[in-house]
Amino acid sequence: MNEAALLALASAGDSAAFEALVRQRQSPLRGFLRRLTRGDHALADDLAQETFFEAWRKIEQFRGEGTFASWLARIGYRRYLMWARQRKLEPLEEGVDVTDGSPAPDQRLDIEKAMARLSLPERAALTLCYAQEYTNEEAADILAVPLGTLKSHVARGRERLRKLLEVAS
Amino acid sequence: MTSESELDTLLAAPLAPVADDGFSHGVVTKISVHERAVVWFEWAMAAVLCVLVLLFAPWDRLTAPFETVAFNLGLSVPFAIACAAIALSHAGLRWFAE
Repeated sequence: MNEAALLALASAGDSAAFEALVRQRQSPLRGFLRRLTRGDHALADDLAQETFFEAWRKIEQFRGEGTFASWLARIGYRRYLMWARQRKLEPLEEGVDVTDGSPAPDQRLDIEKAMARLSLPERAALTLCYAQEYTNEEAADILAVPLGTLKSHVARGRERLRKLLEVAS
Repeated sequence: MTSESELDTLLAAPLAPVADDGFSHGVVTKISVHERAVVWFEWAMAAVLCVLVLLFAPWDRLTAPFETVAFNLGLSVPFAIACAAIALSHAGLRWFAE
């Protein structure tokens, strides 16, 4: 059964159809949230569960203007922002300065570790635009930022990432 | 030196797939538990409302008009005639049937 049919059934309250949708969409959403949470799988899974729960409650509001996946990503990102703001954990604008006095990354620094050192909007923007192949417009919509801001997050994130990987190698 | 194309390749690598391992079932279970709780809460609130109405409704004032109506009907000649007509008709019908 295709996604549109499953969505129609889930909107009518069919929980089996919604479970099928969750099964189809859980991997990219959990992967995205794992990036946002810097690899905290338990937290990412909790947020993913909350995201699907909210999606179920608001599924009638989904009008198919974007894809279901991008709608989920938007809810998931907002959930993570709320979680981070409540705990005052995540500076939203500044990432780790690669030239600051923090310990230099070791030789095993891979893309995930480098990503973890970027600011939240940078790693979200890079993940959506590259690993998940969203267009810039879709990614801007998911992150609820103007297109120009999204592009600057991508450009700044790339630059920081390149420096981090250079330091590692 | 990390070239732009190497960076693109690294960034474009898809995220590692995450196995479901009961995750979707867990989500739906949580949803059904929540919905059952909501139904129970709604019934509980309705029951509490009924109890409050029963306890605090001004029953004397609510039933007083009916007492007056019953008393007035008892004194009403047309009502008495109507009752007598019903009783006589019923008795007459039984007499004819026998």
